[in-house]
Amino acid sequence: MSTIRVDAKVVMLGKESVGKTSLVERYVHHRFLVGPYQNTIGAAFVAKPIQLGEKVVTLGIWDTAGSERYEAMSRIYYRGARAAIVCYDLTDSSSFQRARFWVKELQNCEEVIEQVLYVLYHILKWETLKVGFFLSSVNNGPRLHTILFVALQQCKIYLCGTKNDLITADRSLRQIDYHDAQDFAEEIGAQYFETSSKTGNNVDELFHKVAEDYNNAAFQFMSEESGVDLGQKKDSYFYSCCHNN
Amino acid sequence: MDGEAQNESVACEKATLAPVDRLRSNRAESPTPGLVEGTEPGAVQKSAFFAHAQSFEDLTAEAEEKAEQEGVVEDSGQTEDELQVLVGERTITEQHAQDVSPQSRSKEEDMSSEAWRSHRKHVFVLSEAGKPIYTRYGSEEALSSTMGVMMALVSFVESDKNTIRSIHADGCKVIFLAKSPLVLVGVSQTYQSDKELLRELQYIYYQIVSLLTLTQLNHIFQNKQNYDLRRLLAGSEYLTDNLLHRLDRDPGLLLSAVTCLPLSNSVRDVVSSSLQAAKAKNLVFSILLAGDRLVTLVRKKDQFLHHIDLHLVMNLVGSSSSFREGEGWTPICLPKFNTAGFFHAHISYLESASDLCLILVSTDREDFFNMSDCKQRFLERLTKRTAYQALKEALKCPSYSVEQVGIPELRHFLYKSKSSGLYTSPEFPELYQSDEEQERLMGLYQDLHSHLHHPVRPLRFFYRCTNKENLLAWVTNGFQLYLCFSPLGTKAMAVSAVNKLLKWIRKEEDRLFILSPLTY
Amino acid sequence: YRLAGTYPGMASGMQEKQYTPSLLSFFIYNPTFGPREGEEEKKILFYHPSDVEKNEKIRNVGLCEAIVQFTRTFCPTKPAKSLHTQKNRQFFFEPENNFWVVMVVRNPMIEKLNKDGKTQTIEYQEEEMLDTVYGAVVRQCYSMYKLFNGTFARAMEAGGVELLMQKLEKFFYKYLQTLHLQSSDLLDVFGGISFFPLDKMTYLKIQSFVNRVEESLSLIKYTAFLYNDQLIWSGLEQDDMRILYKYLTTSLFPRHTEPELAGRDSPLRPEVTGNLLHYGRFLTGPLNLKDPEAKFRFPKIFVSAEDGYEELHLIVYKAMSAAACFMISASVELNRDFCEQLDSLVGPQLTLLASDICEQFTVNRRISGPEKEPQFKFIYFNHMNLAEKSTIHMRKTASVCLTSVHPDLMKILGDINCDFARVDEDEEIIVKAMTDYWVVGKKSDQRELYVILNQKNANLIEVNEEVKRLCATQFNNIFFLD
Repeated sequence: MSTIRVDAKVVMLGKESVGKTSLVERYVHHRFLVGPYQNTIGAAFVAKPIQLGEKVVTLGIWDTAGSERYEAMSRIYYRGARAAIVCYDLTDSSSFQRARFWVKELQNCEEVIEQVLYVLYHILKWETLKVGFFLSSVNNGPRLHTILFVALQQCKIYLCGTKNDLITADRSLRQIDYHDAQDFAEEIGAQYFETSSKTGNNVDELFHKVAEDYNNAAFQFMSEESGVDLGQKKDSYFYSCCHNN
Repeated sequence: MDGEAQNESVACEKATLAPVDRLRSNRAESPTPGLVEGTEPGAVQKSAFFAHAQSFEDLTAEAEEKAEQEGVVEDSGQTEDELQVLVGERTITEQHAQDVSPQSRSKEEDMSSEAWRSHRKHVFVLSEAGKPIYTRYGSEEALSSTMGVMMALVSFVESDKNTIRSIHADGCKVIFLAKSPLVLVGVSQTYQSDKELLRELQYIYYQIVSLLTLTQLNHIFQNKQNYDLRRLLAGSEYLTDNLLHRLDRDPGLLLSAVTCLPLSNSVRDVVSSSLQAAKAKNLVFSILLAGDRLVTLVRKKDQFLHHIDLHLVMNLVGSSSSFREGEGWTPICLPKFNTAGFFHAHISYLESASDLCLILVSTDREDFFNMSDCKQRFLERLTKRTAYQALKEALKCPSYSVEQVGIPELRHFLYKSKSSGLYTSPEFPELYQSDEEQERLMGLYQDLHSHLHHPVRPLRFFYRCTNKENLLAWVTNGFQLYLCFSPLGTKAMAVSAVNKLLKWIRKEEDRLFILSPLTY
Repeated sequence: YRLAGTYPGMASGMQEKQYTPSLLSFFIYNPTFGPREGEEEKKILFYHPSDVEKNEKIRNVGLCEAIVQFTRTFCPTKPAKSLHTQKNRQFFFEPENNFWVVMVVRNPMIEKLNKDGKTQTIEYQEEEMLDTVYGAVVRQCYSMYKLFNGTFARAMEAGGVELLMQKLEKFFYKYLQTLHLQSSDLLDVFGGISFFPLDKMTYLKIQSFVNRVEESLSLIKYTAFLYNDQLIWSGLEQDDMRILYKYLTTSLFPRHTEPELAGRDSPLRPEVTGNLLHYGRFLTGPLNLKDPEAKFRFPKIFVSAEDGYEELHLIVYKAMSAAACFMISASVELNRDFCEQLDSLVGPQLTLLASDICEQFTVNRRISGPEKEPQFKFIYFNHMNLAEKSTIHMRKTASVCLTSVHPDLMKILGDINCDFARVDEDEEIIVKAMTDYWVVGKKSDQRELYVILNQKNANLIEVNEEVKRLCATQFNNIFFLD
């Protein structure tokens, strides 16, 4: 079959016109299109192979539309994503608010995943390996499969401040302090990048990091017995469960 | 005229060099019969891919009526108050316009200015609460009180169990279309008839529905009458802008038809069958476009695509460069098919620099990779059978000049075959190259069209001599024909040109039309 | 529902009733007369029907104001002319600053009996009325008021709002009853004058008659001469003559036709003349000069003059088919002496002229050959001299204007006329209706000609030839297009 095999699904999220499409455009086609702003309709998909040492990792990048109209749709895209690049415009504080919203959405999504994992680990008393085995056996299973698959792969968040070139040209344009963004990233356990699609500054680095993290995680999952560290969260599951009852 | 044309044409038919293939063998000899739908030049062989007036259009019409009924009649006492307010409205709106900060949208224009007023066609969309949703010119904020007045007028007339249709002044008219939960208003300085303007507003309504579905739209306003729909439509204004532009310029929207990429019958057949073979469970329509021209369309059996829905898809694809890179995947409601739900369209160009755009419409929102796979299969098949090269070759001349028809006095024409829903038309000639002249010519065609399709006094034939051009329009059960001649031409010449042209179209029909549409 | 103007339909045995357009309301208001809230009623100067509830009146006037204001947002210089709704159309006209005349006409409709056999469904035919036609009717209403009363402003100056309201009430109460909206058509748009075709000799005779009368009776300021409802001579301004002509031919003359048609011995024929030397009599003023009680009051009319307008007595004097209108300044008091003088001077001469014209007319008719039903019918109008000619319209009476073609064809003429009105250029339009009738419209040098051809199998070329022939014989080739 000629369809390109995708290793890791990456989803671009963020307010409209922060430059998600430009970021993808710069990374995939090494160019920056000047002209009237055109917003993305629905979502666009591009597959991009990256060379990591001897290995090739193919990122399947979902460039979603920032418009509120497609908000519900975007959930389809980040479900099952290994990485979410949450973008905001360094010169627009409202876009940072929107980025916070997306982070929250992603975390909500993870809550669902956590619940499923809770069932597997604590009610069914499955072990990590068994979970892995189960996943590989229900190859084309129904929705649960997708959710479980996602559950074990966890979506990593990358926070990305765009249009860095504008700041370089005029510092007063910056509306989000570097350290505030950095703090927020740490708080949510995300990597933080400031990029410019116009100059290409930091763009390759961002996607390279995404690919690398995937590669390392995949390697971990294959080699280490424990896989995803869930022990830490056990108590919290139990806690919330008890209180719900 | 009919009889005469027929006699003459029968005699000439023998001279046709076009190979008589299996499809043509059972077609009428005469190029001009057209009096029976389905035998006119360009008529489809099997079933058309467009919905006929009789198919499901009636179903949606019914649904619309119901929706209309639901949202009527407001408390009359309230509207009376509103009306008292709006008598003194003008001063308020003017003040308001000045209040608007200069740094808002780029389409900002002072609405008390001459420039704003002098636009040929304004279009406004508002909610039933009078909240602005869209304006073609100026900003919605500055126009909020004007739109409030519009809504007040609508509900005032409604309170008498009546419906407002239009206001007429010399050289200017205002048309109202209430499509609950939206109200659309057009202000036109063109000579278009009310019916034509209403049809354009209807298009804008469908454009909005195609982004949100009517179900969602109703749901939103049921929950919150005061909702600001611009939040959800943000970023789609240019789709509406472009659609309005097309309505002024694209004969297809006027004729309720689309035009095809001229392509030899054999190549088109290969393209169609390759597309037919690349099917999937949830795939409903496969559409291959070359710019604004249709290359082929394959549909699921028993499912028809309405021309309005196809125009909306073409507008979506044509308005955005975002499908050029990578593969697009977007929910789209095809309102003439079903206003309630979304289809999901896989949109991609065969090559990033090419004009060939493939649209695969699926019912399943999780179908992206299946569609992506269909596209690959289609491409492989196409390349294997060398049709791809021929198709790319055809792209180099996507149109033809009127000179090729060989009628010296003829400047331009539109021909629509009714049964196939397809039309053909040459490039705009030298004389009509500028934007103004093209729009003027389109205006003339619109005028002819609205005369022939007058709601209560339709005409069979229309001929008009002016200082600038002579125009002829003719409608039969099988086709519609609009011709533009030099003003020096005579009537005798016009009559003979019609006969010659119909013969030419018959001769070229398998290149200009899709004669054998396929289904999965 | 009103029963006037209805007739049962014949559609496939279904119970259907068709209603022609009818006048719903007619009102005149001035928005500056009651600007404050609670004073809205003061804006309304006239409202028909008068029994409409006050709040309803205020509401409807309010809507008109709103429509007018709203339209100004988009075209400040061109006021709103009409409002279309599902059920009716409203026509607006601002003849004088801030005075608005509004006519609301219900769309024609079809009442169908539902399948249950009890309830009815009403279907409004929204596309049947032509704005140009009804817009012209409203303008005519005002012109007619102005002819007999002068401007609104004049009444305001003379006696304030109160007087104006009285005058409006008095005039429109009667005038609106004479409106026949169902038979309004393209001729109302033109508002033309039909001229009587005459040879030079006869024309000179008439001219010298007018000169002699004006010389002998120096009080006469203006004279107009008509024969058979057609104009031959007029000393008035064109626009004044146009509305006077309308009054004479649709109102005054039809009211007086019966005696003449009735013949000498008919009891209908009034024994008024007594004078065996001539057939002259007054259509306005004294009915019978011999009557000692006779009143010498003539209707007053207002026509334009250098300094605005002048008020005149209108004397209409008729002998057989010839009618002469004499207009005399209203400041002069007219008495029995004057009328007798006029009667003895004009009566015999006018009688003679009438028979001369009649003779000439019959001769001409004989020359042009026996009248055969032609293959075509036409309407002609010349914007420069307001000359109008129609072979479509039968005799006009006070109540109806009969046409010999299907109303839809008349409306197609109206549609073509709208097309012509858009640009000031010569044009030609030829259409074939669904009924296979051909309709040709030509506009050339301020003249418009519309021809309906009943040659269903003709083609464009044949139709063109036919119209060419018509132009050559009837119009001396004044239309030059192809």
